[in-house]
Amino acid sequence: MTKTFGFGAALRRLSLAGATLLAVAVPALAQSVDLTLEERTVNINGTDRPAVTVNGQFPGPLLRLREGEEALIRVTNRMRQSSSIHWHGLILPSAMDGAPGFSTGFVRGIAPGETFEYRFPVVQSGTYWYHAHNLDHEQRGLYAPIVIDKREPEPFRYDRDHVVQLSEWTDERPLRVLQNLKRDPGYYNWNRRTLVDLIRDLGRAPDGEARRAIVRNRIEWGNMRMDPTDIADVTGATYRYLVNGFRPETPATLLFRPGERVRLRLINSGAMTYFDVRIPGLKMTVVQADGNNIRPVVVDELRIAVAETYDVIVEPRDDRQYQILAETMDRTGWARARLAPRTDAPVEALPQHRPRPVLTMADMMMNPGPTGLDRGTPLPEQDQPGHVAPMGGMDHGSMAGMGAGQPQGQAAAPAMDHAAMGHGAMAGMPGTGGGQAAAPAMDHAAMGHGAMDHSAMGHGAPGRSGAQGPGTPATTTAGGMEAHAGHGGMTMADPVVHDTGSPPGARVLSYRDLRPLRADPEYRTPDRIIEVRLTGNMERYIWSMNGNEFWRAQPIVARLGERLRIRFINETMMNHPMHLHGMWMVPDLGNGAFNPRKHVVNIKPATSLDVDVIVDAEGDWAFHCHLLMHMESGMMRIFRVTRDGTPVASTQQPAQAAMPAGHRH
Amino acid sequence: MTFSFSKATSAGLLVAALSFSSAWAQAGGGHAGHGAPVSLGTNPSAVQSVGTTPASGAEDHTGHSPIYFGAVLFDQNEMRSNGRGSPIYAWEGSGFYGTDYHRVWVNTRGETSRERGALERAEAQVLYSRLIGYYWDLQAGVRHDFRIDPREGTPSRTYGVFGLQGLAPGFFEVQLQGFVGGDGVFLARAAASYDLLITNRLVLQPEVELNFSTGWDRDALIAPGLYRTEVGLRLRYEITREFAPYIGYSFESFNGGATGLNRRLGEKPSQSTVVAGIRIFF
Repeated sequence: MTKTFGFGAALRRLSLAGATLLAVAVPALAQSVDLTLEERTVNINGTDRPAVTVNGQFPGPLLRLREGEEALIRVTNRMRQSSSIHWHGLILPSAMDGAPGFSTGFVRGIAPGETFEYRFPVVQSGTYWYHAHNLDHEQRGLYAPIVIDKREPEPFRYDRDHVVQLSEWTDERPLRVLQNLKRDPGYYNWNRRTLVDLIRDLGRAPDGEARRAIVRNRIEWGNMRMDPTDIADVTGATYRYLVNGFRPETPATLLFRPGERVRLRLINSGAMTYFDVRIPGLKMTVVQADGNNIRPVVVDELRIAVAETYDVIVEPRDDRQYQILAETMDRTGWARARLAPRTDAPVEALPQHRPRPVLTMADMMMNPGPTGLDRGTPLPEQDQPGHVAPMGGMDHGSMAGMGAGQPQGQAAAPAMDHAAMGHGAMAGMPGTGGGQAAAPAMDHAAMGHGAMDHSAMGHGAPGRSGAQGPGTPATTTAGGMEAHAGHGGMTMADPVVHDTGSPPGARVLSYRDLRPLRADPEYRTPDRIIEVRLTGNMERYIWSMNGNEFWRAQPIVARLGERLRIRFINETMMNHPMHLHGMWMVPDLGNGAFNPRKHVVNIKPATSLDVDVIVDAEGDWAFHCHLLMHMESGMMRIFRVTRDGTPVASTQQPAQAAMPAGHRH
Repeated sequence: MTFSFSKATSAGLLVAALSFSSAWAQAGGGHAGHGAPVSLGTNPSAVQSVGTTPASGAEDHTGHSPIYFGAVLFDQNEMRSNGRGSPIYAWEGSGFYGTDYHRVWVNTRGETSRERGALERAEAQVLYSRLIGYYWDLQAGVRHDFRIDPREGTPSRTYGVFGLQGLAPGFFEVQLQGFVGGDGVFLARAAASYDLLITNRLVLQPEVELNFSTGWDRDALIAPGLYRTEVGLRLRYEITREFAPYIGYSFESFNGGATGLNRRLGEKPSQSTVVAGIRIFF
């Protein structure tokens, strides 16, 4: 009845992505499926390499579920190591979550030869994905889309449905990649700033002041022992970027008929790579983020953090092919697919890469968030000594002054004055610092205002307009970036606006655009706030939260039913896509009950973002950075939800290792 | 040929994919919900069964414990020529194994004799290394200087070592070591180097090493104060991170009282050499 109707509706609405490697493995009515994990060779770059396949497929087969039914998934491990499947973003009992060492009764994962039976009610709809909860297997191919059909019709119309799953492949063993990074953090970065760049920049500089600024900028970065070109830890030097398993040279072809509305389910299944996605010639209407429907937003471009999903609708009208271009954030590679009316169209050339972005001093200027440096929030544990804040070498005194809204005339760096000004303005203080701006910096300061307003919007006014601006493209194109950095960027980094180097006027999605269709019924002020500092160091490739790696950290304990605010403070120079299993995270974007529910929240370098957790699922859950090399390095915690908020024994202890009968075969 | 092979493989994948997609296209837009599992993975050119891949403990790693890893770097692995006589071979290398925080560290250096070609002197250190902060390792252990030829050269010596090694602001690699010898003489060594990236592969590395002593150890050619200096400039080309041939210049000099000790042996207290070698990292 309902089922049949829904099924028929699904049939009418959906046509599977033609050229994807994904097969429909699930009868929609039965909701029962068998998945077999197996090592097989694939040949991506001309060499046979061992991949991890699901039912013989690389990447794994699409899993199609229906909201409101029960899913029964039997996973058989035919590999020689323990493995696991985690249902990313799904709300389910802890025991079914598939994170070894966290999930109840799932201490070692699925042992070789064993079959594990996952059984859980499907309580949500949208685009998700599943993957192994370890670096080695996920990087080598154990990832695939999950599409959950909504019980009621979607609030938006579309004629066709394609999955666009972004990922990477390396011929190296994934743990080898991690070890290379630990031995030499610049191992995969062949785009560092060089003497040749310096001479070129000095040659282009208009005057002596600009030249001095360039040199000063180099020295400042050197003194911080950081590399502004360190945008991605692992680059195109070893990665090939894939869409649905296809290299960009031989792209997947997603069919459409001109005039159709095509729903693209974008999934970033990369282990380490952020992609900037655009489809030249088409606007993308974002209708869903992380599986939750949002008010449609029309954008030209979006940055998809690792493990996020976005559903966009495009309306290709012309009888021609359109390229779905996903450029890596560090501009060292492309993933691409194409939308085409026919499969036999010749493959078009890839465009030139946009200029690579570099971090600026402004990016690294710690944005202390709404409370300033006086955080006043308790940490979930005692800190370990040894972490270094990014601005270690800079003048913290003036930062503190800024926090108080009193820009001080300290000449530590012009950047500081401007930042002070920006901050003062944000706080509604008179911008008294303006007079100190060095002449060449003035216009930049003006430009920076856009971003400043965004910040103010995010933390204060719940108005809509904050996200409507075109971002701040003018200051972001990399060509001018290094010079600008010399003057100091004028504002602190906005925690959610992305600089993709898009042309002026192009609209880039930001988290502030993500507004649910209806007010979140569970919205309320948080019961308490804890602080999670994202810590680590590129030079040693050490990653942690609050200075503690996973193996020496206490669990974060939450009480069932509370609304816990996590104040993320990213003290590193990398983006960290933070992922919490089993519960929704709600980034506070100043939109109150219209803040979106997400399973991954990206925390930009040197920024702070408040994220509320709706604590409604008992058990031990994994809470980690979804950059798998960071997770593997220890940027992970047990997120423990108990009824009374007191710690209970961890599932990691052998004493707790007993498994419930009936789930092992 | 690798490229064409990969092309062919990808083409195979593409063809398979295209035929697959056209099948879908013909079937119309309504197939998504059907249960028939279609597996492209059976495409034999792309995916074959692997019998067995040996399981190693490392592959089981799931982020629940510290990673053990190691590295070996032969920063100097070179022939040195001063324009007269036969060139000598010299090396300076180090290696470690352990976690981010705790490591066993081995440093070694040595060179061959200009006259005989055999090994003339060699030094090895075995250290425990503990990370303090993000940039510095505190190290302690032993150093042994080998006497290769029992009739000549410096005598063998064993020292206790403590030191600090890391990255100073400005990206200077720094090593500070103190040596406590058997004779109650205290030695110190300070070394620093910098990688100047001319391009991303062409790297100029200046390097300085200074050796100090608090007293005399005449047999080992050690005199109070600054007794030995090494300055080097090496230009390497990183074909890969692991393999980087280089050329350069090296200047070694005995200073202070050690000058006289050398003269007595009939050696020149300082010499400049042109060097050529291969930096190895793995």
